Amino acid sequence: MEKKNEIIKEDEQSAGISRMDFLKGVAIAALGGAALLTTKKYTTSPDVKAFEGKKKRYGMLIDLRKCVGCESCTIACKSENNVTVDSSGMNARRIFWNHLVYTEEGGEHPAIHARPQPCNHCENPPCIKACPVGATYEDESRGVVLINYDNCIGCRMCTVYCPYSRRYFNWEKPHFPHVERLDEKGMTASAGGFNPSVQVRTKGVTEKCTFCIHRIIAAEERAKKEWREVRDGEIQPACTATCIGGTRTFGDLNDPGSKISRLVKENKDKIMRLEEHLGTEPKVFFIKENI
Amino acid sequence: MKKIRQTPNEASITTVSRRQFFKSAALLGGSVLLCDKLAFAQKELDAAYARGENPFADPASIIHTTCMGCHAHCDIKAKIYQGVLVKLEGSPYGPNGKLPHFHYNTHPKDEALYDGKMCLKGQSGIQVQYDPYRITKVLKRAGKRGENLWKTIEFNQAVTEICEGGVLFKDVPGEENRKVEGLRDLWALRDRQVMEEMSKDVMTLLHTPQGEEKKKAVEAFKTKFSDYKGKNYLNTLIDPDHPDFGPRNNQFVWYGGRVQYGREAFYLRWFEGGFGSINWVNHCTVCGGSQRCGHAEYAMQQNPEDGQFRNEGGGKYKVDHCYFSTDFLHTEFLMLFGHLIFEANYGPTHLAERVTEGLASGRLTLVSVDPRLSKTGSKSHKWVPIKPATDGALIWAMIRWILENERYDKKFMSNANKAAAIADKETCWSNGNYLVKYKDDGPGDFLRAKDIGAVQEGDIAKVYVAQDGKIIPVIPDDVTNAVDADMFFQGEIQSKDGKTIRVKSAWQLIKEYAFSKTFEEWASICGIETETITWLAKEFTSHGKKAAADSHRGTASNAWGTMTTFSLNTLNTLIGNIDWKGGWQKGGGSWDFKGTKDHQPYSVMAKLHPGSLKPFGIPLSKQCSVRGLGHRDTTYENSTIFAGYPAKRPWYGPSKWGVYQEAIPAGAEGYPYKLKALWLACWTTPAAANGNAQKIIEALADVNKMPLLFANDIVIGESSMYADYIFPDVSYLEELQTSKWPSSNMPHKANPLRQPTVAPVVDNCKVYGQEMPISVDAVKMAIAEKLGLPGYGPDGFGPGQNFTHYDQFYLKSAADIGVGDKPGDDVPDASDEEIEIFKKAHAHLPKSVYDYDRWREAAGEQYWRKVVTIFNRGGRFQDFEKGYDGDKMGNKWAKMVNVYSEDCERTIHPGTGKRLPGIAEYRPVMDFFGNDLLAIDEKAGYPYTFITYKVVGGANFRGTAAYYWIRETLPENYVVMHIEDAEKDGLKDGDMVKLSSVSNPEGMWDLKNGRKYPCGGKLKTTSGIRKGVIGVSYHYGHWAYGSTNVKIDGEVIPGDPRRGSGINPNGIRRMDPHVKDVPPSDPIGGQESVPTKVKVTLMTEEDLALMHKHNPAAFITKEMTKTYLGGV
Repeated sequence: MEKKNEIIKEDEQSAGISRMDFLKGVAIAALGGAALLTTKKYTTSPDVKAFEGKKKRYGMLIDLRKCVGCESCTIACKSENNVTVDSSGMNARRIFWNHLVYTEEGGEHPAIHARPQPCNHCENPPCIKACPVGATYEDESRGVVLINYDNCIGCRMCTVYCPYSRRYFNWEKPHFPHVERLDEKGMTASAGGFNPSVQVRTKGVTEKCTFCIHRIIAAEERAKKEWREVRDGEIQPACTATCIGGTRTFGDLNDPGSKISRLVKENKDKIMRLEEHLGTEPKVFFIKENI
Repeated sequence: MKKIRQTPNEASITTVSRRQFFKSAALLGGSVLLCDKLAFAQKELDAAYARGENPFADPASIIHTTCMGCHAHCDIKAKIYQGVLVKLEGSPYGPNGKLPHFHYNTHPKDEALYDGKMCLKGQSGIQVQYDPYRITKVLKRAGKRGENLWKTIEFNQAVTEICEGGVLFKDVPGEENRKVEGLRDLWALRDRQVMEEMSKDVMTLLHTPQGEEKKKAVEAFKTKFSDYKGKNYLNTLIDPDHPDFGPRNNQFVWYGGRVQYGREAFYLRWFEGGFGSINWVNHCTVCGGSQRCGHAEYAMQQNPEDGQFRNEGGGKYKVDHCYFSTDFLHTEFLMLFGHLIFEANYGPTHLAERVTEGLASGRLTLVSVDPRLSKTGSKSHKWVPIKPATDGALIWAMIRWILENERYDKKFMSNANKAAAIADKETCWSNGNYLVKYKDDGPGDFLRAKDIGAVQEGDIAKVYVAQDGKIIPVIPDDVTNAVDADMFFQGEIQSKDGKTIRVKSAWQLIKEYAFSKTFEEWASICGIETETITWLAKEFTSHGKKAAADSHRGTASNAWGTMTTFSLNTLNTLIGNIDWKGGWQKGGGSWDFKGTKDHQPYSVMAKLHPGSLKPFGIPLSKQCSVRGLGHRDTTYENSTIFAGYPAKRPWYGPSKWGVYQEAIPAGAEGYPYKLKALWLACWTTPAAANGNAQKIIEALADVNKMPLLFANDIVIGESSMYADYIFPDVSYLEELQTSKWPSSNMPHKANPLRQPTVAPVVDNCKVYGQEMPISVDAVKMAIAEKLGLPGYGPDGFGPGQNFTHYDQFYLKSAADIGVGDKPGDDVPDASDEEIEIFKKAHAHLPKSVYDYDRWREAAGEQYWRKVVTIFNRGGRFQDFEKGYDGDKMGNKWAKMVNVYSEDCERTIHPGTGKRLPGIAEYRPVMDFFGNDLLAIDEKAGYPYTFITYKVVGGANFRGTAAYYWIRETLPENYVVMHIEDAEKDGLKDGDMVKLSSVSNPEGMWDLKNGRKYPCGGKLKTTSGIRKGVIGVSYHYGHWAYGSTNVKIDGEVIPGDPRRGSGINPNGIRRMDPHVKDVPPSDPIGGQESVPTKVKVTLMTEEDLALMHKHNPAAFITKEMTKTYLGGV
């Protein structure tokens, strides 16, 4: 903790006035941290192109030492992204864009290890190669792998090609017990509880984690309006914002000053990525548990 | 009978129809009002995005409120679009939502950009809000109790029938002529002055010695009130021969579930102050009753006027504190006793990060003492799989080791009063050095001035200590004369009449008790190796003040729960960690929300309650006082029904809240008197949550035992299904209430606030001419209007101050919070801009729940801007830095702490007739006669000890049923057993097994509506549980709550069996052998005991057939969850 405080202090000094303008009194300082502070503020009309064209490589760091296996991220993701509720009762048909993978040790010293697993948004995504119609694509300015649901033909090639099983097929029409009602004509209608920022998928398409692309875009739009760059820490996917253990860091891997870049560098002995030998170059990093 | 092994096959599973739509307008799923609002909203939103706008960055699209996924009171924000709730997020304003949290003066515009932390239950709140099974109209029973046949009726009709009584169920077979007494009949004593006079006389009567004297006092009472001020008041009593039962008002009993503090205050004002009944029963004793009681013993303080030690809510010297916890953010060694900080407790949300930060940085060594390996245990450095209900023995082993090796904080121990503590840079001191007099049957009260001489002025507060072997007086709260004392002392002193009094210091008693068993003996009781205990004790005493032993409900959920928690506090006292950063804290506390301070504008409970009644009499749950710890009024020995030992039914220690498992069976039996009307309020569910759930069902289903039974629920629940009337209630996202901090594990002062975020889905009613949603608050208001209870309606708060809508109560309370605890402690006024944000954010709410002018008038013009500041932030929160003060906590206890309790030592056990100890001794799970129940049952052939626990996805108010997303991750729970035990018994994963016990040898649930099925389900084996222990979690096995069919107005509403999967294990819990309808219970705190000896057997064909017929939901999940630890 002491250490953390030092970092905060340092950053506060470097932040100077621009930061105070931004959040008077949000002395939270701290968390959003470091990055908030290095924000550049434009004083004249910004050259929008200057940063629109600038490539971002968004990534996520998950500190497994801090993961308590509560699944808050799992549920936050389902709520944020309007993910269907399975009604088949078959485990394999449940859809979790972000899921916890558990490994259990038995015997004399039993233990459970939880590992949250969103889409890795690989640098070399096998799913894109698999898609015969180009419905899966990389948002090149952000390094986020996305699906155009309207173009997806439901062939499920990508679900097979993804070595992490992070893609899910909608076997049935999406089911939301808490929002479904019959309207006067006896048709299904919704009452609320949907996140209107996220498109609901239909039966027969594949879906997966988007790094909450709608939140990324919203933050970018906001920054543009305020004539500034997006601050590090400003974009928080639902899983990251909600994490009760303080496990996740989201940010731009291309920015060496971002919190995620710094943590990846500082912890390089403890960092791992999944199935690195496959050469997919995941952008989701893990700090291993202390064992 | 052939035993077969069966994991149910596909054919036997009731198919869930994917879309179980229903048309009944009595439930939300059938209402058309909300339909397709969102389609419109979506278009608007797309257009907004096209314009480059993000509507959710606008503070006017957000309402800050407080979660109720559990009782932790997390500050949350509801994102609203076009009047529809679309997403819930954590709020960075509150200390639960962000570490460290935002400054209170942060502008909502800036805060809107950030989301805080929120756990999975909180995220699922949206599924509670829009749960299709939510009730929207008033339901009246159209069949037998529990038959689930209903008809919808008008709100006013229901209120009239409840108030006036009559032959209410003519159409129900068997009840054609049953006449029900209404609330008007029970509201017998209405005159405040007469009630006060009677109350005073009854108090005198209680303290009159048994025998002839008491008989005479009863006669005198009868004579006086047969003609009091020209009227005969004896007919207002339950029984004039037993005036201590109190007035007939007491036969109306209130049962509360997830009530929370603002509603609680309003309830008390209504139920006690308005109706005048003493039988306010909250759910504490199946929750944290004894744990809180154990902390309350630790926190008692001296009242300097009479020298007695108390912990009470009222009076000039009020001390009202019953919770201590660890400063998780700075501690270095933390021992958790059955304490699931990552799963349960007062929310994992704020505790998790404080602890994980320590795990990652290496600051913290974490130990989990628990028979079961939880997620918390798995994250700990050490898991100590203790025998269930033997935490006390482990604690005493540690105390022994620490005393033997002199590893305690000697400086802290030497201080005998406040002045001595201050001199040593401490804020607190213990009562352990005070000298205790010996009575014939053991240690008794503290030695006082009256024992050894005439009492002069100023002597009343004196107690005595030994200083270098010499006995000297000390005044605990003395801040000028520092007194250091001997920790261990025994000796003699002459009494004033020349007798010899043996005295010992409390620490001496503790030492003697610790050494009454060898280290090995203590270790063998709790089943932990001596090396482990040595390591624990050594580590615990190796971090200075930055260590703590903490518990939640785990240590307290047995028949000796108060003492176990008290012993934990004794252990903490040895390192003197109270008030130190990283040590033991009292918590941030809250600002006074009832306006009891002189400078606060609205004293809503007292001065602003004209004509309020003050109930009296023996409560049905027979706690010895409702005034607080240290009072002994309605004890068994004082009562007019004292008849030697054992008493006919258990009596308990002091409590305001009643004994949840006791009041219904006692009222059904009529000891001391019959219950006539029962209100199951705030979704309370004794028929599912209690250890004696099966017995509660039997009582509720019997119209002769519970003549009038009505409930408030958001869904037809496990208990409300037995009611005569069910009123809908607003959800926590629709209600309004001020509150306070529930626990002490948060170092920051706060008052979370709950406010309507969207228009309630329930129907409106009209009370006092005002529209309001049907809810517990509306029912209170309507009954008040119907009966004319004092303090409601026009001028209800006093001349010129109307109480015609329930929100007026909470707005006044919010104004009190805004003003603060002392002059100058107020929140800043909202700017014009913030007022605009407030108006815009609330614009979508209907007048029934929000009206700008009504709200402003209720709060008062000069406080209104403060109230808006609070509403815009979802409460009032202390800034982060103020939580700490150098190396100490910012919000300090700064008082005495106790290791010896006169309150306990004066308690006579109603079963054995023996006095209880004053120090926190260890006992096994005992029945009413003092026998070791687990040992007896083991001999009777029940080899396993059953325990229970919460899982991270499990909620209060049984909302788990509606959490469809969570149910995907945790679809059901299991009978969890050690893998080697299972192998020994020839059982394996997935087997359908049944539990049985001495109290339920058949192992059956009987719902008294034709449904009877085995208590059990699928078996899960693991190495993560102590051998010999069986664990089954809470939250699952719903037999109502939308899981089964109900019929409303002739239409069958299909249930969704997914909501009923898993097991509710409470059916086999052990009952006390004396009364047979309540579990063995803590004689002090009243906690019901969980540990039960059970048998685990494969279900027979007959069992399985019953299961398929009456509980098909048990088979709904086809595959088992892969890991036990990862889930249930």
